[in-house]
Amino acid sequence: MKFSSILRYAFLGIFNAGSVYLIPLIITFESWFLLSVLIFIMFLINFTYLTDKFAALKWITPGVIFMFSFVVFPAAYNTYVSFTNWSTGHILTKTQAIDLLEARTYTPEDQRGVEFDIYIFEDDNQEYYFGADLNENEFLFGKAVSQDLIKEATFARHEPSLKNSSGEIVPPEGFKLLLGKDQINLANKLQELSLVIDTSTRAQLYKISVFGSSTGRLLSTSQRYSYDSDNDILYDNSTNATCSSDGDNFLCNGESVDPGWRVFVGSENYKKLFSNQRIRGPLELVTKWTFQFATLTVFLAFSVGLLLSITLNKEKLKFKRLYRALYILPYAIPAFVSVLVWKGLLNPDYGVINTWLDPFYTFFDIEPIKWLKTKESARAAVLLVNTWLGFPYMFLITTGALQSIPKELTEAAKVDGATGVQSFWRITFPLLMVSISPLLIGSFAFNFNNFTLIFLLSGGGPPVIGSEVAVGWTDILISFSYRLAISGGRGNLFGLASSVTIIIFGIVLLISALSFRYTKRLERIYGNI
Amino acid sequence: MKRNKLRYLVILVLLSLVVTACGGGSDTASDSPETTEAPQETLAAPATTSPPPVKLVVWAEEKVATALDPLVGAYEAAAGVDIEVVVYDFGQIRTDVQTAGPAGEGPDVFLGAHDWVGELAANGVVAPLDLGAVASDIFEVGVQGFSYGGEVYGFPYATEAIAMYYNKSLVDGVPTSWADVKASCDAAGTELCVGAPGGGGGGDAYHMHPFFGSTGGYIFAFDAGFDPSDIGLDNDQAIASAEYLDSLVKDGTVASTDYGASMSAFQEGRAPYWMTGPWARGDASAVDYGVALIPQFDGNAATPFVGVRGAMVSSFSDNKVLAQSFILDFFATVEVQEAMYNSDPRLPATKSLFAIVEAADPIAAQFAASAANGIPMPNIPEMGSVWGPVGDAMLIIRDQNYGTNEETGVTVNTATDAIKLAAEQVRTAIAGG
Amino acid sequence: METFNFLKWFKEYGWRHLVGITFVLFAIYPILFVVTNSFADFANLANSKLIPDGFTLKHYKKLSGDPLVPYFTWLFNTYKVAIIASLFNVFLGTLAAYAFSRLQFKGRRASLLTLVIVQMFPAFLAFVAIYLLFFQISDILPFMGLGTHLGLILVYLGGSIGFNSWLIKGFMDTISPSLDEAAKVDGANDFQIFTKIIAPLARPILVVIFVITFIGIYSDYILAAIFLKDKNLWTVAVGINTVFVDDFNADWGVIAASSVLAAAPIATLFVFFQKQITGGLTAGSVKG
Repeated sequence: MKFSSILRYAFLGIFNAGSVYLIPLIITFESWFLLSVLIFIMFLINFTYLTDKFAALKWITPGVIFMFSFVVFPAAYNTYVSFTNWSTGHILTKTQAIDLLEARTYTPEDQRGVEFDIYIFEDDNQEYYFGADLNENEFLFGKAVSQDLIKEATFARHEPSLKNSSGEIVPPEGFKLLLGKDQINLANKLQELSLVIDTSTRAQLYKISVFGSSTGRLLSTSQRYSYDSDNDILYDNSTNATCSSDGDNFLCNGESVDPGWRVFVGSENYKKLFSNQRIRGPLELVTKWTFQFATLTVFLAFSVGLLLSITLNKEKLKFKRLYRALYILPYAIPAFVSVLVWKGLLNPDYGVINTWLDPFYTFFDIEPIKWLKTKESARAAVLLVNTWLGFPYMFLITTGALQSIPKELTEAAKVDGATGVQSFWRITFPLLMVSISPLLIGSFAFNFNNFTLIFLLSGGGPPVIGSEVAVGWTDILISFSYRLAISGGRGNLFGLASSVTIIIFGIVLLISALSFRYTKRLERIYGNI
Repeated sequence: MKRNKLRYLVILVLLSLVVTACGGGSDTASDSPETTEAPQETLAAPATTSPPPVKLVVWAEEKVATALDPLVGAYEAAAGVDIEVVVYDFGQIRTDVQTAGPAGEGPDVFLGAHDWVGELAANGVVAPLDLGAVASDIFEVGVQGFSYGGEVYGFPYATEAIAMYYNKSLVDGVPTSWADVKASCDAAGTELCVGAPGGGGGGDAYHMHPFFGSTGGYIFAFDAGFDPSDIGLDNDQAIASAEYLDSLVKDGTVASTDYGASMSAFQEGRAPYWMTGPWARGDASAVDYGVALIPQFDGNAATPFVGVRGAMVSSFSDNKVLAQSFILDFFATVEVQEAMYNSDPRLPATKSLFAIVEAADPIAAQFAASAANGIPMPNIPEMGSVWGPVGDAMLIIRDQNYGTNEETGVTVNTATDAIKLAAEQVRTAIAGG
Repeated sequence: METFNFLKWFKEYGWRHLVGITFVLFAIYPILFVVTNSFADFANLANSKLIPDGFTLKHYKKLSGDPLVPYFTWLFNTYKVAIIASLFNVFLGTLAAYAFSRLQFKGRRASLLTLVIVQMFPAFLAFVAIYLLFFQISDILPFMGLGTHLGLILVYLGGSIGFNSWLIKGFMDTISPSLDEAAKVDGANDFQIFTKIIAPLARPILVVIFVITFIGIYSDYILAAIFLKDKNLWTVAVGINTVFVDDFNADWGVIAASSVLAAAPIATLFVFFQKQITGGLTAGSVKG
């Protein structure tokens, strides 16, 4: 057996052992999703490295596993959300929502805020009793019962005060008074218990004190809501209303009760997007600009990057290294810092840009540009800043790609009498495009969704006057969907926003497919060198 | 060849099993307390061996967490509980509490802003907190801020509101009328007059609230909670206020600045006034500054938006009563409040702390006075559909960005048009169109 | 004579310097603001002045002396996470690229395109999905769950395999197949061809990809903020945003100082890596 085979089987052995070991562990935590992912990965790995049929898989699988877990899975989740009503008031599951509703208590107005000392006693059977110190002579004492036993519980008895002359509580025979840490350690058990005072009132723990007595408060004996799972009906015990479910909320007397829950709504979000006139108008406007923005940005950043890499692609050029290092600098400064600087530079009143342009303004006798305040200037500013942010990447990529183009080709062209410019456009550039165009497509896709820039620089503004939903001239699809998401009628509309991202992906997919077709043609013409 | 493969496979499976068995052996040992926990507990209970200490997880922003961390030791020791203070980016708390809570991983107690309450309560992730006896020590605006749907959802520990900074070397103070403000700027001969965020391309409904809310305009009517069906953005008073703002912009009283521009204008002495909040004191100290109330509007005190920060209990906490006790018996004590103030000097929300701060810090007292005139930012989820349109409308006025939209053909030529449009946008958004 | 020489020099080199210097100004002018503001008494990035009034080192002192701000731990964490994740990223991408460039199989182009396109998904709620996924992982494998660098590195690994492998594949395509064919004749297998011939020749592009991936991870805030809750595990972006950025204001002086400190090694590294990249020029002469 060859060394590489030993290595392979050792790896597989350890991998499988680890996975098999994880399976019962995952089962105890009931993470069925994780279990299926693990089994899928196990299958994939074993299939890949045990068969020799698909040699390519051996090289690709490791990367694909990570991509599947952290790109495809979130994308799938996003898609799933776009088919749900996930929004403010609808983030829980129905069970969670009902649990929360059933835990709500109802306190009559006049009893609110009534506080009194409560003492906790424990008998020999580890059952708990609450005592309320009403006044000097009276002490309310009884067994503390859990929620479901309130109806059957006997009422608390009035007893003579348990306080001795020095004010200390003397527990009755057979009981132990719980203090400080003892109470706190039992806190999550004790908080479920109530001392039943009469048919309509009970006392429940409200604070557990570290020293001495705890604090109790009065509550109604009835919980506020009770749920009838057979008929899917919620009863409001405070108003005696019967609340039916409208799909994602309970409706009591026509008013919906918070929280609601998350449900699958099918294509509802998509229908809303396309049928809603209010959204459709701005959507068209924003889509148009998104295309312009992404295309121009890529074009500008690529042009600058390519220009610089060609300029520096010359042997014996002095300071070449320094230039290159300086061009990469914008890339190394966090965008949220540099975009802010740009905002300052662009300030129409005192920003450097207008100061520099001042001679032009006076020479041509024109109004100074009100950067970021008008449609055109804001769009120009966004493009300018994004070119600044993006050209280092393009510079890096084109520098790398230029070096991969065999010099013999351009030299051959020179021998044939082509000028430098001619050989560049006829040979270098097309070859460059073959390897670069996918990245341009990638960059296009990135800028299509460049939320950070828009958010930090212009916030989407200036506002489009008169549109029915708030939208700005520099809003792109993703920032518009963010606006939609956070400014839904009632809080966040994550479901709707997710459906916008699906549509954005659809557009990007289409464009990419078309462009890749084009690059394929390029490859055919110029050869897949 | 094929048989060879099979043999490897068999070896592989056997090897896996062996390794699993070995690994599993040591693991069952470490696993056993968990699986056998239940019987052990019932057996151990009579012998009163203490169970593992109860643990409370607290999510707090960095500065508060820094102040809390050394203090919780005392409570931990006294109560025999384990308190874990997790440092969180403030804004992140809002989102994570909604993701982590329902997944069973959230905190017991978390700190947050009052304007999250509507969203968190509608989502069912925050539990009501009965302030009990502590309530009497808290300023009304703080309790209002945390009230939603008839319940209170947090213990307010800090408030925040804007006031007016002035440059002592340029002007003597802040006049009570805007006309006098303008006159003082003219006398000082500065390039700009009042730098207020909300213009210069950056819409900011928060800083702009005094300009539409001081004489009777309002976003949502308030009566023991905000009412999303009663919008007063375009009532007569609000429209008059918007027109007044327009005149202030036109005569150069209020400059077209966003936050950064208003800051540098103030720092560089190009504007004698800066309208913003206590967070900017460090930045303002570039000049010799003072703070006073925002000038009045037509004889009415300016009403800034008040932000309140508070401690809340997660509804997914297993120890709600203990979490409540932690907040009310420990967090709310004046010692802890003071330590937090020293770490992050925000305006006190409790009277007892205010008494301490007032004497020591007159500027904080000015901010507190400004806050006393203000109203809490609406905390209902509907507020999400307000910030954008109102910020935009104010921006149009501030930047005098009037005109006709070439796409929709809608014209906004006056401040009245702008504020009416915003009100319309808010109404349609809330109607859910 | 003199002018003639100048013209010739200008045609060959001079214009390159002219273009070069113009764009150096464009590239670094905003950065100068960051640098000078890191020394400014009252830093304000939206400043009107390049040279601020007061000069101070207090922002740097805050980053180095304050026990509550373990800045250099954050810096170390940032570089640690970014370097490890980028190395693996490049490694995984190179493996995949080799298959796409050198192995013949059905659906080669289609699968590469799929990888690239899937990467373009604008996952609006990606962070929620990843958060939920890692809750479960944290229960089972705490050492790579939420709050760990390992978990964060794993997430970054999924980030850019698609683009990276495309880029590397494009470069590998330019390496003459005659080289590996010769090696094959000598009895080398794929693994040997990869490690001995293709990977070394592809070094220039690997360095470029490393730099790009590194910077992407180094400047990430969202994922890191979701993952890292322990102050001593934070990266620079998380630390600065959590400690120095508030609703309305931010401590721009400290942020500027932090940006300068964090970016300096990258700039230095890039000068250093120049050798590697220019090394590609000599590698290029091998092909043909």
